[in-house]
Order: sequence, then structure tokens, then C-alpha cells
Amino acid sequence: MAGSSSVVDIEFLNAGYRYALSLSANQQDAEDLVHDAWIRLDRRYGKCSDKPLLFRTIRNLYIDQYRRRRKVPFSDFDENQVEYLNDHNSHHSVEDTVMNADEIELVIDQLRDVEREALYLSVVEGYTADEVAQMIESTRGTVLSLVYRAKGKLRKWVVANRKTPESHSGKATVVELITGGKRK
Amino acid sequence: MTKLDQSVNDYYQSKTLYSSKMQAILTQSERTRWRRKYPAFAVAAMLIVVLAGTLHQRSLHSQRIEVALQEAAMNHATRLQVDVEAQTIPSLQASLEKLPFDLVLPEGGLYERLALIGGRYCTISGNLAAHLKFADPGTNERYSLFITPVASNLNEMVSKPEDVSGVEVKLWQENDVVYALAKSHSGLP
Repeated sequence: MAGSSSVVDIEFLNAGYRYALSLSANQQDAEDLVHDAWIRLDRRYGKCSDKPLLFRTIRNLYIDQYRRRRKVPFSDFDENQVEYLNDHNSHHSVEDTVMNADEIELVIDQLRDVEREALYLSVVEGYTADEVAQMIESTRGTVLSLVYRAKGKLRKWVVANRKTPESHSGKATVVELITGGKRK
Repeated sequence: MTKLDQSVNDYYQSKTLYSSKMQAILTQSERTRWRRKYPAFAVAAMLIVVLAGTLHQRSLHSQRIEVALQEAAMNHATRLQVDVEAQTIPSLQASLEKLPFDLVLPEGGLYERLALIGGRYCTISGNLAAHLKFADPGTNERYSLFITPVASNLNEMVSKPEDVSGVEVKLWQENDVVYALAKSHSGLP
């Protein structure tokens, strides 16, 4: 590693990369985003010492690129393919479901950018809805809605695959339902 | 945190930059941070050079004033004979025909009450000058007035009256002419 790079730098870079990944859902784009943001902050401030600032810079860069490329936003999860799960008890059991990385990636890739971003900031970074709202320049209600919808899509995917376990025969079940877990 | 949330969390936590990419970013970062600091060093270095140059110039200027004051004091103190005796400036000017400049008295009424004795050629800092000698009819005190045009090494020659080896000397400049007035004993007017 470069001379005076600290553990904090590496930690921030990885966090920035994950956040960029939550925005772009593309490894190469995420690497470029965090790289550009990091260097931009170096030029401006001499050092990146604030994770929210790094995230904000990544976000601004992503929006700039988005505008330049006129990229088509990720389409909504096809809600016609999977029925909404309204059953509270089923909802509970789905929340206690463990998904492996491949499954998460599969579903997360299909979320809208804003949903993925809100989900990441909320679930992974642990920011409150108010903090996320401030970071993405939105309202608390919108953030809660985005996170709810993102989780709803994850749940729907779980339910759909739980309902048709035979479709994944020959492998370990795609969705492993953990029974007996308590919802927090 | 639900297990679903945990799954999302675990998924993202497993994502890290490849070490090669991490190293590339950190290496460029080091260079960028250095480049960002470098202009500050350059500006600081430039300021030091400018400051040192200014101080050096001031020092040189002070030395030139000091040399001019000492020459004027020495010329006054040695009481050398005048080359030409004259009672008026026009007659002195006519007699000191080698002077390439006009003898113009400085402003102020001092020279109206002093009696011109005469003048001689001299040099101040290597520049040809006129050394005019006056006497105060009331006190019989002797004054020396040195006149020379502004030159590259005789510019902005201004000093308060200074005591140089018992001679009070002051330097000043009027209309591209440098004047030095020297007087023994009591202070200059």
C-alpha cells in the first residue's frame, strides 16, 4: 500500500466502494466512482476524513455520469411476476430468511438505483431515515418508502422462490428459510 | 436487524476493492496530496525569496545612504580650500564650468541668511557633485551643501540628520537633485 495510507483510508475506500456499488450495481463503475471521488476530495481538501462527504461526492459524480450517459434507470421489479405478500405471518417468516450473496446480488441488481441506495445507507451503514434523507436530499417519508419497497422486493423474491422450490432442484435451495427465528 | 437485513449487510460487507485497485487509488492519492501541498511550499519559498531580496535591497540602500553621509561629513570636516570663491550662485555656477548640472539651491529660507563663501568639485558615491560652503554671519558657523543629480546609486537618498564623526549631516532629494547638508557642532536646522 502507498506510504502513509491509514487503516481509516482503506476503511473509507471500501465503504465508498460499497456505496458506489449500491448506486451503480456495477463493479467497474463503482471502482471508478470511488476512485474519482477520492481524488477529487484529495485535491479539494487534501484528505478525505468524512465518510458522509465521500458518499456525497460519489453520489454527485454518479448523478453527473448518469446525466452524461442518459442511462436508462433500472426498471422496477416486475410486480406482475410475483404476488404481493400481504399475509403478516408470512411477512414475519420472510424477514427471518437468510439469503446468500448470489441471491442478494440477483435481487439487488433489479432494484431501482434509489431503492438500492436507500437500502444500503439504512441497512448497511446504519444511518437513520432522517440522515439518509439529508444525504440523498429527500424527505424522511420518501426514504422510509424506498427502504420499504426495496425490502418488499426482496421479500417478494424470497416468497416467489419459496413457493416454487422445485424450480431450483438439483442445487441447494435458492432461498433457505430459517425457521424459528425471531423478528426484531 | 432481521435476518433479511443481515443478509443484505453481509452481502455488501463482502464487497471490497481489489487490492490492486486500492493500491492504485492510494498511490494516486499520495501524489495528489503532495501536489496539493506543493503550491503552498512554492508560494512560501517565493515569498521568502522576495522578502530576502527586499531586505537585501533595503540593506544596500541603507549602505548607500550611509556612504553618502560619511562622504559628506568627511568633505565638510576636512575643511578643504574652495576651488572657487563666490558670493552668488550664478557666479559660482559660471566658475565651476565643468559641472554638467545647474546649481539650484534647495527650498527653504536657510540659504538667504547664510553667506556663500565659494565652492569646489567633489564626488558623492562616485558621482560628480558641487560642494558649496556657507557661513552664518551671526555665529560664524560653517555649513557645507552638496549638490548632485540623482543617479542610479544615488536615488531616494533621504535621511534624518545624523551625527557622523561629530558632523551633523542630512540627505534629501528635491526635483531629481540630491542634497546633503553638513554642519559641525550644534544640530542642523
